[in-house]
Amino acid sequence: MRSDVQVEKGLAFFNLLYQTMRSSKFCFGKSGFQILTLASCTFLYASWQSPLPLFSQKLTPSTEIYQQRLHVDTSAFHYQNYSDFDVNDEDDEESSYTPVASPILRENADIFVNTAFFAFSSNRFRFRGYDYRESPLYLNGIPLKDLERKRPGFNYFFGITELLYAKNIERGISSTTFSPGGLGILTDITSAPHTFNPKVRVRYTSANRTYSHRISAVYHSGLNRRKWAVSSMLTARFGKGYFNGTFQNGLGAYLAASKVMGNHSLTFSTFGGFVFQSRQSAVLQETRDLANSLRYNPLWGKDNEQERSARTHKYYQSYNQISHSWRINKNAELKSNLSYLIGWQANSLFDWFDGTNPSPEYYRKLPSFYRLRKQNIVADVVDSFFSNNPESLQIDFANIRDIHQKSTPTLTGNTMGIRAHYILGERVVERQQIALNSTYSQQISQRFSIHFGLLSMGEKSRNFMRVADLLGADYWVDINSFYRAGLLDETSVEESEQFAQNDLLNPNRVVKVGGKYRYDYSLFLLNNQLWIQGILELRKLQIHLGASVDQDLYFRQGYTQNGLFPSQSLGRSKVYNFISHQQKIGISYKINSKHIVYLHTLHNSQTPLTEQVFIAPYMHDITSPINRLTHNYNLETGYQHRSELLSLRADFFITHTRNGRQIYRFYNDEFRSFGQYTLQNIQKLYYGAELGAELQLPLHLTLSIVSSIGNYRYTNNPTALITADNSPKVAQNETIFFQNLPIEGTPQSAHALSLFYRDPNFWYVGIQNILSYDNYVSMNPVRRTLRAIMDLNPAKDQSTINTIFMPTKLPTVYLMNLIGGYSKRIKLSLRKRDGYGYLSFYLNLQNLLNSQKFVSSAFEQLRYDFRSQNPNKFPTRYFFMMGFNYSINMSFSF
Amino acid sequence: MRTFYLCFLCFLLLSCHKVIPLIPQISEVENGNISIMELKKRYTSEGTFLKITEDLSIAGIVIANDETGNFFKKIIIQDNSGGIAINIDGYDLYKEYPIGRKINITCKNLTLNDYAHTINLGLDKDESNSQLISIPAQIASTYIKKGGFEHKIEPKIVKINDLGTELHDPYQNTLVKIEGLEADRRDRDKYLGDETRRYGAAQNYTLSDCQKNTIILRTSNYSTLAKIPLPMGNGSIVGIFTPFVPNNNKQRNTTDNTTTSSENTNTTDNNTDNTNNTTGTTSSTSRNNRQRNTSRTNNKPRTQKNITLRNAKEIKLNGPLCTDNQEE
Repeated sequence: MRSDVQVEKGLAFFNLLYQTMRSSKFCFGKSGFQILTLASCTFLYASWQSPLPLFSQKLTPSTEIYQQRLHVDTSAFHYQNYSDFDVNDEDDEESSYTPVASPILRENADIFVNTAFFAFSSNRFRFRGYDYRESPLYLNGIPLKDLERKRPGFNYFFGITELLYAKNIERGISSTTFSPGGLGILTDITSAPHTFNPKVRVRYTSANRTYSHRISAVYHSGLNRRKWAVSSMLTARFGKGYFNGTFQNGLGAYLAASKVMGNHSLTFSTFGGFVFQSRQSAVLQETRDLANSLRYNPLWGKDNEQERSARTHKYYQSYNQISHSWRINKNAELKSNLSYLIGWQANSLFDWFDGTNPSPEYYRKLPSFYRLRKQNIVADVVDSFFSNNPESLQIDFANIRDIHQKSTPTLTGNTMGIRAHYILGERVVERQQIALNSTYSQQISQRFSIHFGLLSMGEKSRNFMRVADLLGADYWVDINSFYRAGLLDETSVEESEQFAQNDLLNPNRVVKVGGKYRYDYSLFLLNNQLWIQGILELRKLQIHLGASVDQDLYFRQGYTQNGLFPSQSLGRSKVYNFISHQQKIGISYKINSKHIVYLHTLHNSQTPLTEQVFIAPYMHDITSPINRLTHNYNLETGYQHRSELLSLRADFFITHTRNGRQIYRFYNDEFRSFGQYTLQNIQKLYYGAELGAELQLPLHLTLSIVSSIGNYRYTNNPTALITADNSPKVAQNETIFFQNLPIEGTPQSAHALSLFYRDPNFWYVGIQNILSYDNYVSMNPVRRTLRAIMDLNPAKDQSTINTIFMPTKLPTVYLMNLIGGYSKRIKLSLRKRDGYGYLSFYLNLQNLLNSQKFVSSAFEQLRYDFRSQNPNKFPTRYFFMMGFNYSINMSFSF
Repeated sequence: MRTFYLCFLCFLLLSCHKVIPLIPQISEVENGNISIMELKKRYTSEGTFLKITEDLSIAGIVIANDETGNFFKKIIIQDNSGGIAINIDGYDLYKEYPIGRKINITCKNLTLNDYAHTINLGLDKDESNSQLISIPAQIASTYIKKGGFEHKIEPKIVKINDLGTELHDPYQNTLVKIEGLEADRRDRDKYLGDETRRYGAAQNYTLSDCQKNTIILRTSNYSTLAKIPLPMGNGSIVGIFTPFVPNNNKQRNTTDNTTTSSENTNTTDNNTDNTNNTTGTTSSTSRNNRQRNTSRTNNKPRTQKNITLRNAKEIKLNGPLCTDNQEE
């Protein structure tokens, strides 16, 4: 017989459940809510009859991580796969970036997530098509992200892969232990030297991807008698990359020390590094063909006989954290962390005044420009010129220096010298962040545990432009060369002088190398979070309930007074304050020891990011109207099977997003100025199914299958607010016809079939076949407007209209990869304790068929010519995938 | 395994991916609150500028544009009541205003003016030269709303004598078809335009019907029609009719062109001025007269009727000539 106390607890729980569901009524609608309540109560009551909890207690992840740790060396190929990645910090104008799939270890229970991310990482696959911000990354429970974009900071590691071994991966919609969860996959990295065995390892890697060489050294002391432990790693990556003109040179370092004092453990971790690199750019098919090179990259040229990239990325960062973990008693644990981040990044680009775009891909330089004008003879001449002079498809630094050399010195202010027409500038972001969190876990009864957490993050990011190289000139004058086009004829000379100033406080300022120009502002951001989660475990049933509240607060501080927006650029903006929340509930039912079915739901609201609110923070603090927060409604149901021979997980999911926002910044031909399209009220629908299965075959073979089939679409026509940088007056609304169009930037469906052979004699080999498709080119909203087809006669030009509206599907990608490894034990007399060293080799060959036509992502240029209404005037740009590429790795450890 | 197949089946169901974009339809523009003729009738005295201050709007179908280059920086629209030229300062107007497209024009703040009795709608009076400023193409959308395509306007079959030269003649700037026309014998082996004489913007030929009524066929030398040989048969012409009634003070005319001497067919009009460059539809300004290389002096400007082709298909002079002309 069940005791009264138990019944009371049960009733209290029902009540709690009811209240929570009532509060989230709006996500199901009234009748839907009633059905749901009835169904879940019946279900709960039925399961209440079975007295013994069946789900294992999973209070702290650390033991699990320790277990994972033991398996790491056998799965070196997993770690290797993500050692190469890097967040490709996108071009602002082109809103493109290299995404990063979350690195996952196999040992985690989630067979789909494990295999999918390993297999699809090179395809820019995004989990269920969600934005990257939905799959965050944590270090001991503190999010590794900037508060402006909230993207996971995979670039924080500088090749310090040692940190990535110990991690806890959870689905945000399921029950979570270190954070309130969310739509995507959560990865919590643990920096805890006391959990590592003593080890020294040196490793060398040769690769042809983003760098050529990598060396690293790792030391773990293990927990000594005085209960101290130290972990450290040093790594350097250097050399050229796969595509012409790309390279990467960088250093990374990690040091952590921990002290265990009874129930307490204290860890201090610091890691960071510096990287200087030039990345692959998105290229036009036309220039790639002209260059007749599959590795063509237009971002570099010869400068004084040296290869030089015009777009480089410099990044320095240091991340420091103190973690405290307190095992209060058998049933309770408190973890607290304090972290401080400081760093900067500088991305270089050309700036010019009174000149033309120096990019060799500038549309007016290419044969297609003349073809569109029906000047075929000129086009042919240009075409053969480029074909015979492939160096003309690179940046002509010599010409720029020549222009400067031949210029006559002019006087600006008190400075006499050659005024620069072209410079290399740098967009600099200096970031400081401080974060504090605490997570408390308590096992209240045998069946019920709660997790409670709070988090506070504050950030200051200062943004400015800096002159990096004057390219032979003496100075640069800090004025805005684009202001003119927006002015009317009646503008007086004085007004015009004023409008041209980037900073009225320092008009016509002369800038030399290292000097700031164009803009200078800071964003101050604060994020506070409070969350709670309860997990009830019964004999056949597990129920979790979670809720969280977030406060986001931010403002802009301008340090310059822009001539076009004098009253909206200098000083502090209004403080924007948002409250968002999240609720989730999930039920798992264990049919027997092998079969589990589950149903999870989640609803949250999301604060708009600063980059979606401030239209052009580099000019002013004007915001687009913020009426509503973004809301996500998510439902997932699935089945999990576990037996000795087969692990399988299959899920169906559906997610609806309302009031989404997106901002597109680009050169708007209509206003002859940079401008913005701020899309508001975007509705999206994601649904699909996932399957992950691993089958143990005889003869040490393992077959794994991963499939994700999705259908992600826009379901309404959002409204765009159109603004221009050169005029405070231009602001109009326009409907963007996105309805029914697919969500871009990720393959919506992807499959992988892998076969591994693990020999008992310490070697293994695996072959992977990856197929991904339904990947669409990122769409230009300007093309999906009525104005874009206003002058096309449907009776005659229907095919052109369709071309303008129809999103382009990228070709299906098929990749075959080979992975192999071998480990040899060597007797060493150096160390007493173990006496053995391990020599390991690891090989990762990707794209064995050397197919060069695959595209990982692409985007339609945002420029659109309304006059010619020809979408090919500014054609699509592609990020091509690498052909055959490799990484060979040797390591020695003891 | 059963579960596996079930999952696989569900996967297949999900993978139907047909993208059907929701392409918006261009909505038809509303009719104006007055007809084109009603608007034109508000303009009563020639050589003046009438700024429209009321909320008036007109709607019409585009009947001529710059596609062949025979009209330049202007479009002509027509409704049931009549037609009017809209002066727009821009190139390739035919892309935005193809023939058959219905447009609606908000007339408030626009200005009416006539050029030798042909009424034009433009932006304002240019005080510096007392001419009509065209509407800049980039701001045209503030006045002009563009509607649906493929509206048909059939040319009205008329006789030369039906066409009047007064300000409010109903045929002015409308599409007309005149039958039984033929060119002068002395203009044999000539071309519609004279590409070698681009300084003179247009070429004039006198066409006559069998009753000896005449009308001037005007073709821009810049036009793609310029290289078409002038057909020497008798037949029909479809084009835009415009009168030319010179104002002695302002507009002296190229009246010599009304005769069909070979000497005079070489005479051209110099319509290089942007605002009034109406290449086909009207004749030229006094300045052009001074530049003309003509043996005649003191030629008094004469009223004339002009017809301008829109494309090469509209000139069908291929039948047998009038009996009078067949003697030779």
